[in-house]
Amino acid sequence: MSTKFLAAAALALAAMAAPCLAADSNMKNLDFDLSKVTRENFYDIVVPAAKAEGSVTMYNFAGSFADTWKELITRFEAKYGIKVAYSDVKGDQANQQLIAVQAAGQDSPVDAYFAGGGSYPLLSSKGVVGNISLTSILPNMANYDPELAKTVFGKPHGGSFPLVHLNQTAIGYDSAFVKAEDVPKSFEELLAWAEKNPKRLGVTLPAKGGSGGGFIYSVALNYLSGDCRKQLTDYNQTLQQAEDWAMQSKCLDPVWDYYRRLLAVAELTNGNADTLNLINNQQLYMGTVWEDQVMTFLGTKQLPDSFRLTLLEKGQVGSGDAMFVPANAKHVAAALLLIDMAISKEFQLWKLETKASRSPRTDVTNDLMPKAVQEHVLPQSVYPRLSLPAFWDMSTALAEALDEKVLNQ
Amino acid sequence: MGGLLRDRRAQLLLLLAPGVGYLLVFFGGPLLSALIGSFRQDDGSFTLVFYERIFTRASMMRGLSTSIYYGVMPVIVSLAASVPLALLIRRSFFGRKLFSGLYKLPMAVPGIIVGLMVIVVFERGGFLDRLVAPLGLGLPKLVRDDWGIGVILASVWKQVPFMTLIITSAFAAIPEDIRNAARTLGASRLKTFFIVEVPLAMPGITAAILLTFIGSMGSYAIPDIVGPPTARPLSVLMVKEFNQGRFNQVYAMGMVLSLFAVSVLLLYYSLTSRIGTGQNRGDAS
Repeated sequence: MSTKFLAAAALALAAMAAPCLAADSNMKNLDFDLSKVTRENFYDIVVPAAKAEGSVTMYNFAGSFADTWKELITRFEAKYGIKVAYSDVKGDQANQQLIAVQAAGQDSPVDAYFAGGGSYPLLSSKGVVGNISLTSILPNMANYDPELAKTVFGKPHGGSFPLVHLNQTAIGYDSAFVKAEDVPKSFEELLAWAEKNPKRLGVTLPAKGGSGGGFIYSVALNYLSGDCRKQLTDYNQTLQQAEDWAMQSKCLDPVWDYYRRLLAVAELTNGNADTLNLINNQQLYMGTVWEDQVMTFLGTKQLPDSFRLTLLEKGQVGSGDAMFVPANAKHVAAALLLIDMAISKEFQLWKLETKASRSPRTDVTNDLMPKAVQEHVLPQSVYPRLSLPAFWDMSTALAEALDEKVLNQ
Repeated sequence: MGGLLRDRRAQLLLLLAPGVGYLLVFFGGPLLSALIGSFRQDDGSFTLVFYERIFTRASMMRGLSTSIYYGVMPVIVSLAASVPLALLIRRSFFGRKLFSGLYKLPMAVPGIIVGLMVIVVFERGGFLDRLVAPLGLGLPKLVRDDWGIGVILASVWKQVPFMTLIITSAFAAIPEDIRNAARTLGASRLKTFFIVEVPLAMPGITAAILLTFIGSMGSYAIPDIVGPPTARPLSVLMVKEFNQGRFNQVYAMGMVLSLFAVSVLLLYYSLTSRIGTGQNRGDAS
């Protein structure tokens, strides 16, 4: 009888306490007092709570990161003894799943989600992102880039959506076919090279690959100035507003002219991997690429060792992907601990060396990479100097407009 | 209650209920929901904007015509391959049993695998291209080609066994006596085939055409992987819209595709009913 009474009392207490624990955030299933957690007492509070939870579920939207996260999981399980249930997902579909689950008021199927950096506006607008200032409380985020700590691609996130991996769109080329003096340094030189070498430049269709989406936004940044550029870089626009502007604005005429000329002599490809595959097949000598994907392809011998990267003057966009805790996650403490380990200096260094995955930590820099790896990443003469922040909603809008104004005319 | 059960109409309704109920719940319901969704804004108000986008945007109109093109072309090519294949299978030859089993294999291969297979084998600089390169030969562009030849051939490879299976059954159902009678009356083999056998097998052939057309028109993986990036069918554009969370636009596109498929279905029924009438004219009864 007394056991039953105690259990009922504990349940009632938990039910009363839960809303208090969640008072400062939109977290639904907190089983510890998040408001008391600081960088200093993080491990004292979170580790016992995480061990009590016993497991954590992680989603990974990036196919090329599966082995990276397996390494993290091995380290995490060995250190804390907490089981990680891992799933590779298709980002857009997982986003829609989380939005549907949130709308239905159900528990999230995932506790720590490695999601595309560009998905923050959508996920936050639907209440999916847990309102936890990770960059303020995770000990391993003490050396986090201060700008990225509060905003992601121009959108304030309050520390809830921290990038744990930075990547860069670039121009990749096979140095066996392209001489050093012929490597284009600007968008105009790239067009001139393509005209001189018809069907040897691969441009990823913006709607089907981030290297193409990044490239079209970079072209627009290169050609637009004044009020047009202000509109182009106004991160407060919704996707619909950006689309309306991209469809109607005369500002973008130079971009469409550039693409008309470029696509007359370049090969439009069906995705990032498609571009790299054609370069590996020696059908293309140059293409729009992601720096980290190049490293993955080099590692699996799907690109020749002679492959090199560069950035064009006036800059090309860089992006990043975040790890966050959904608002209705069930194992919040374990998720926090996992994200903390993902951003640790040791893991970020390992990730940089093996994946060319740039780090948002200020103490993890390019010169820490082994010399052999440095050959295959963007040289320090162009990175980070020519890296510009991505604006994926605008890239999507430009991709839609490209479809209407150039590709289907 | 007992009286009700003895009523013929009630009995008929009860017997039809499982089948009709299943169709209503699992086909009619979602279709109706999608139809309503295609006319609704996020705030619930009525709109035609999603249909307007389909018929005013160049990419959407091209998507519709590409869907029809990817529906029709594989049917024509598959038919040209399936009819001779069906006739061949009817004959007796060495290894016929093995061949009859092997030719059906592509049916079991998912579209996405077919797409990736084309990329690996037929891409420029791919497996076959490297194989013939020492002979001074090169493959034509089959991946991302403007006419979608790669998509059509990949669809044909997947659809031919299915089409052949149905057409073989249709020819097999024609009594041997009818063929013999035509031959006895002086018709050549070719004439017997075109004047007697093809018309009698036509219900099966049209069913194969219809099913292949609908399958090819709605296919996603092969056109997405192998097709040209500029002309993408509605199925590929639908997934793009879905990924951006524009469900109402997806519903509208689905409705347009379904409407087209239903129109083809009605055409099929009209055609087969005429064939039936023609056949009955010669019946002794």
